[in-house]
Amino acid sequence: MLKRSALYMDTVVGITVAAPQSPAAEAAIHRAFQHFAQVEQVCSRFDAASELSQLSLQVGWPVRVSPLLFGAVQFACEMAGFTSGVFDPTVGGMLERFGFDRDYRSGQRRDSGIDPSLAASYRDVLLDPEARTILLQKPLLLDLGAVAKGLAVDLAARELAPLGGFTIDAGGDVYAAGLNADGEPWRIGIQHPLRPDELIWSFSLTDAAVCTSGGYERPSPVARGAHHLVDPRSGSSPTDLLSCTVVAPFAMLADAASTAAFLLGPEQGSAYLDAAGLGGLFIDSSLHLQLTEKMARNT
Amino acid sequence: MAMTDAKMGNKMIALCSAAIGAIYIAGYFVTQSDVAAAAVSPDTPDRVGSKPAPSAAPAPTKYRDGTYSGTGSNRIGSVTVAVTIKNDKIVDVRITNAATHYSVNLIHGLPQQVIQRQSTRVDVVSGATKSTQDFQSAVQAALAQAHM
Repeated sequence: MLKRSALYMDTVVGITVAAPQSPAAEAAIHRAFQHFAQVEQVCSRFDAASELSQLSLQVGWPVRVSPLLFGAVQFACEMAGFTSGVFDPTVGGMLERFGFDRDYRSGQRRDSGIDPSLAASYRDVLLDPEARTILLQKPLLLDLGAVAKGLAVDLAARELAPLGGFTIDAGGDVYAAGLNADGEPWRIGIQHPLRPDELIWSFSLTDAAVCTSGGYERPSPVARGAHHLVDPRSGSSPTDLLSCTVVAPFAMLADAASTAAFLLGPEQGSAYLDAAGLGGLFIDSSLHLQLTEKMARNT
Repeated sequence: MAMTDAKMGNKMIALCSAAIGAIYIAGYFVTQSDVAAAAVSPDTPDRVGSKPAPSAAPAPTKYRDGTYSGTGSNRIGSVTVAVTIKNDKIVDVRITNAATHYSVNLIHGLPQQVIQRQSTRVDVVSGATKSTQDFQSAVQAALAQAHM
């Protein structure tokens, strides 16, 4: 078994391969990490030189972008449409106001200068798949925090596919392929939202992604009771749920869907996951566990 | 409401698949040195319109190129990282040694019948995205060596 870890996107990315160490496995892991470096470089809103930051400076005309940025923004906007804007990638300005404005490696703050009170939404982001252009109709700051990490996991998973059994853990966003070193499906634990050293649930997973959204790891440094998951309708963080976990075929989908379901709350959120055919686990503020039908069936 | 569309799941899966395929087909994959090069001369999106985009003035160089090791201690124990700098930019932070790890072996607060179905041994833990604050002191120690 081979384990490697590195820091990307302000989290710890760990890759575990069931097969023994080999030059081919090391090379594949290296390439997998490079996908994280690249997605971060393109999609970071903390780096003024990122393609995302450069796009944000251009309002009112279509901008041709890389397939990576287009794919991430298109996916985020589709998810926004499906949730009627409860999930919205244009919350970047709001997150900046909540103090999520610091590059984790340099510690430097970044102010986009975009006024979050301009009330932009995903409807102000116009996409042209043929020309691969993005047109921002208003000054707005895109935040791909609920999409980019998942996308990087999916790209890395494709890179590692020839190795057979492996897991990618991007700070709690997980993809598990094949079987573990014991020849069994990977066992996934769900972190207890209030006790950092404990699990609250576990299940087996193979060839699928699992992502958990919760407010307990990233409280806002400036707004009391707020965290990095912000409902654009109210401009605040929901308090009825501690976390929401989603299992999906792709990490980008699990990542965005867990954020969306968290913001929708347990009732609407589970209806939404059922409609999408995804499994989910909600943990409310009294530590009650609620599994969607699909999740209960598969675990 | 749009979100009750039963085809939503399929549409989103298709979009994931298409995005990943497009990124691969475009050969957009870059090497580590390309990442550093792009950081110096940012790959600004092509403008279809005519207005010029504001450009940032180049900042003075702070770090020497190379890979620097740094060790720090924190609430999970002692960690060592290798920080790679290229063209004044951090391009890679690998964790080379972690003396301790997050111990997550307990299943808490579940009814007995649920616990019996659960294995306490797990391979990976899914939770809200952990921050990198446990590694900050190690990264800073490495950067101190890279500093001009």
